[in-house]
Amino acid sequence: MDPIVVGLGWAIALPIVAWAVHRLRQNLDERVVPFMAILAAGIFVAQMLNFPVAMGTTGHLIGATLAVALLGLYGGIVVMTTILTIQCLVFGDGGLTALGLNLLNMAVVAPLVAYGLLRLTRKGLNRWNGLGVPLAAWASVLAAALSCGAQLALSYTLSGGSYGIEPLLSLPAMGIYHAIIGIGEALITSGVVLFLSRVAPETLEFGIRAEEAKA
Amino acid sequence: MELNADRFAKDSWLSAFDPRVKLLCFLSLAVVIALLTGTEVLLLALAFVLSLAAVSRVPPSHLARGYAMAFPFIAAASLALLFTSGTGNALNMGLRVSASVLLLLVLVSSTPFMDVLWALRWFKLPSVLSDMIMFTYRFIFVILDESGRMRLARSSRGFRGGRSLLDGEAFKVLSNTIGMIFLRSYRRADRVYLALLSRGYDGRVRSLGGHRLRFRDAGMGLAFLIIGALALTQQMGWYVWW
Repeated sequence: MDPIVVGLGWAIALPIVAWAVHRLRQNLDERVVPFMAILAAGIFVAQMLNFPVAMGTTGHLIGATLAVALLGLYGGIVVMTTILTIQCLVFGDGGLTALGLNLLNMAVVAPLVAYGLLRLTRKGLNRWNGLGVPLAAWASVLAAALSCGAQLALSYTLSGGSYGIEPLLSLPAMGIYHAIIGIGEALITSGVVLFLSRVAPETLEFGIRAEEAKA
Repeated sequence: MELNADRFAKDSWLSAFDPRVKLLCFLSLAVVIALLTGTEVLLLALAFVLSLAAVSRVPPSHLARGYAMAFPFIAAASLALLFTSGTGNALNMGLRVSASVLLLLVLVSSTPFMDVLWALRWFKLPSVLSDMIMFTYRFIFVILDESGRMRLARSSRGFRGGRSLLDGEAFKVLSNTIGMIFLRSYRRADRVYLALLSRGYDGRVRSLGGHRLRFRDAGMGLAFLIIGALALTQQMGWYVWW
């Protein structure tokens, strides 16, 4: 990635994360942090479970939609930020300069898209529409991938080929591959939400109630 | 999967340094490395990182395993450049990413996790984030145990994982597994919260101990400063050393 793009990524992602932290803090009781942390750990572990895609390849969950569905927008952003930071700081995954862009793609773009679509397709007060969850999951993966592809393309163009990947290659490659991966994310996310709504509906209401308390 | 990142942290020679200085030095060097575009200067950076790895006394096999996990991404990034913008750029990309991945690996495997957190708090990271990171890190191992037991139960019932996105049965099992992981986490979160309360938790995390700056920390700062300045001035074309 071109240094300018990396800088831009940090410059966009940090204020949004800070804003989410700020909003979350406004009605924070001491229960919330351990509760969100255990969910973040759950998503972290769920990301390690591979699902089959085709011809022996596998994909894995990002979990942004799941985090938003369970915790609301601010909680979702903070949970994804925590997961990405731990992957970077503890397991040395991806490198530090990539963290800014990873945050932008997976902790900002993906939760925002997921939240928007969940919000649009919601019916009633405490019910997610059956179609909304898979749609939001699929679209959030695609949006994160396209955002990443655009960053690679911008890096390539800005640096004249020292960084990034050529636009003609990066955008379609990221888009098509993740449109397929996104189906897996959609299947698993809606499976998890369905499962939870059947066996423990009270867990799903946490995020919705938290959002409504703020609104 | 082995995840205990603190295994070598306590006996590393580098763990004797102040975590604040260490974090600052390593992260600044990572930024410098990201800015480099010349092959020679990237080789110099890589050599410095490798010598750090050598003095850190972290077993090379441990670093190699971490590097191997990142290697597919490094290879993909370099290959994409190889076909679109030439060998030189591809080689530099590989060197640059390798150097920064190894640098971060040396940092995380030679610093106890609680020291990293302590330094982050000292740098005024919002407490919501630092507490989240601390709790999440702890819970990951708990949930990994839980999911390990579930995996054992699953495979002892003959689950094979499925072949493609069309495999409905595999997806049903996987999403129920993840749902179950969450459910157990929720239940456990209640007990964890009660345990925290009974230890006096009120939403703030307090810790004993800390670190003081010592002479050797200045030495480390100086060494990183010299390497960073050498690399950056060379990069900007102020001089040529060969």
